[in-house]
Amino acid sequence: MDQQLMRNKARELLEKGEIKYLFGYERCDFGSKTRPVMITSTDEVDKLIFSPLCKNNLSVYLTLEPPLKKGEKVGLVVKGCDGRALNQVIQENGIQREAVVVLGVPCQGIIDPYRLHAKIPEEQVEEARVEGEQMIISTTSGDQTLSKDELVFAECMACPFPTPTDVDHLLGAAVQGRPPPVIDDPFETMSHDERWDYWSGKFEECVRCYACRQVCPLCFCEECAADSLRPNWVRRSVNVSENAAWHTLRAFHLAGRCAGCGECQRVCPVDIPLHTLNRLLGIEAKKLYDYVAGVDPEAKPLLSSFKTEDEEGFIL
Amino acid sequence: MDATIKKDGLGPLFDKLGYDILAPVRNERVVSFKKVEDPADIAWDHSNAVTPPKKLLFPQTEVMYTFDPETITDKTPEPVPRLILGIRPCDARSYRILDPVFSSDFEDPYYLNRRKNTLLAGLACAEPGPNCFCTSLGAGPFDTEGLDLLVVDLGDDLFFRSVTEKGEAFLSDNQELFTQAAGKEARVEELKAAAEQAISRHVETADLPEKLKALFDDPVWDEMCQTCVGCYVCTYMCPTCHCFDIQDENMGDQGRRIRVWDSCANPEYTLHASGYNPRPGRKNRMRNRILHKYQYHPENHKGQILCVGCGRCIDLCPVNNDLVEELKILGGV
Repeated sequence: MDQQLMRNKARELLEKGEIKYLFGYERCDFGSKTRPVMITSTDEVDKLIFSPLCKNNLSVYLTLEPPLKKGEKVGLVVKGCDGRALNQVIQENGIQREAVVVLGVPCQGIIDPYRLHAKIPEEQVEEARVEGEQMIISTTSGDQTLSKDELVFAECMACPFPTPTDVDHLLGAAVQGRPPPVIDDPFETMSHDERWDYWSGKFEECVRCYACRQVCPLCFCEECAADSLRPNWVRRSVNVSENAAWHTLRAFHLAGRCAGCGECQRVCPVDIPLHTLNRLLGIEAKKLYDYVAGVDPEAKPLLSSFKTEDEEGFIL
Repeated sequence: MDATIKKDGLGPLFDKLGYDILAPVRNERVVSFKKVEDPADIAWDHSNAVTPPKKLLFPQTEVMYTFDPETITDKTPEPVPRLILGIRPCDARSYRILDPVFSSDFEDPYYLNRRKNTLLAGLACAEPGPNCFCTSLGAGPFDTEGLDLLVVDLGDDLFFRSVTEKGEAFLSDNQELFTQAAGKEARVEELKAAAEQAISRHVETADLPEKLKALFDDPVWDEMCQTCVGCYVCTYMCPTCHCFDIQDENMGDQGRRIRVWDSCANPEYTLHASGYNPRPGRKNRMRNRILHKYQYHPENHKGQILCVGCGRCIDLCPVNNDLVEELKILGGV
């Protein structure tokens, strides 16, 4: 994507007073990483970048405290999945659509640092850009060309909605979606005991840092059930049982709501495949109710709508 | 005293010691400290354990005592001998920093009993990670402060160098299992020089505690803290963060009092019973974390900065906030 397009648009919106500030991405001062940035004046717009290293879902900043001020519009840069998360928050009245000016970035997939650094050590990577099906990685010893599929996250490889919809300004040409994910789920054929062994091995490492919750735009409850002491749904003890309670609770609260950005999994310090839980429940929502989260900001949220033909066999 | 032992010769040593050995173990992509039975399970090839080994002295969940209507059962751990093998020098230094915290005003039996008979055999850091900055805090990848023994990975062999009398005694008590290290010292010096060279991040920290005193109300925090999402990664994964909460957990007429890690990034941490919160925003909480490490702790503990430069908070921050850059903005050169 042409960076200048985004900077010009941001400058224009700030100059005209259409937005008070904007959330986008900038390069970190050290190394190749990028990070979210809040731009408040036109002097700063040249910081803005977009590349396959811009992993964060910026929609989260709209619902973190302090709440948005009435009458102050916020600019927000979104990829396809981030835009769907935003749509879902809007559906649920988490924020008002009028409060945001959405700048959509057609996304070509986000680089998985584990996959990248297995090929090129972290300290040698400088920048990354997409050219067709190739990823060009600038390194301290020149450019390296790698196939996109070798580098991007699994969820990006099968992304059906890379181009955000319902945006105010689309920056660049739309990217064609890929067929919906056909991922061979080992869980389909696993027994309950095998599943428990798999997940308890993962949950054993969890320290309950709640990074998965804090980065999630859909985790915008005023009080999280995990923080409640009376009643104490999830105990403060950190062990496989309580950790499993927390992750199960979160997965169920996100069923039919998760937009599939995968950020919870990416930020997990102990590498728990959290997105797998959300993805599997998303498949259930589709199978049972033909519902896909975040594709239509006008639609009723899955959990607050009812149809007489809704599947109910699992209740009895 | 210097000595070497083959990696695949550790089995007889473990058998002879007969007590708990805690070492870094790989669980797919995650390395963390666990009790090791088979030396083949030890991960030698890694930058550092993700969850810091502070958990071995200060576990995330500590059962202090259990109770029922008739009895209270004390659960203070016994001071049993243990060996922590493969702790990085930065993390060993964190123990030295935590010792006064758990012993100055109050002798904390949970921490101190575990600490008492634990022998530390530290693994020199031959390949520091990209965000390591231990040399900015007066330490180094081959630093021996806080260790009983320094271990250097030489491929098939492990080079052991005693640092304390306890370490010396360990080597002489088990000398039949070790061989003379003659000729290996030069290689150790080479690796040490290369490791120190490999640390690319630096920030001058000496004047920071003094400089920060004037910055509490500075607008610099507004910009710095805008993108923090308020998770607890930087505090839980910090080898020196040591705040905790105490809770009772009951089931029927059985209960237990536990102590669990707490984080100043959690709004509840300062929430008053009245509903008032003196640190209401993410900015207030993030500022507290940095000031505690670089101003308040030095003020209360003879100038000691509450950071060892391990770089975990930088590696793991979901929004790539970078402590080294932040310290530079705050006046570290």
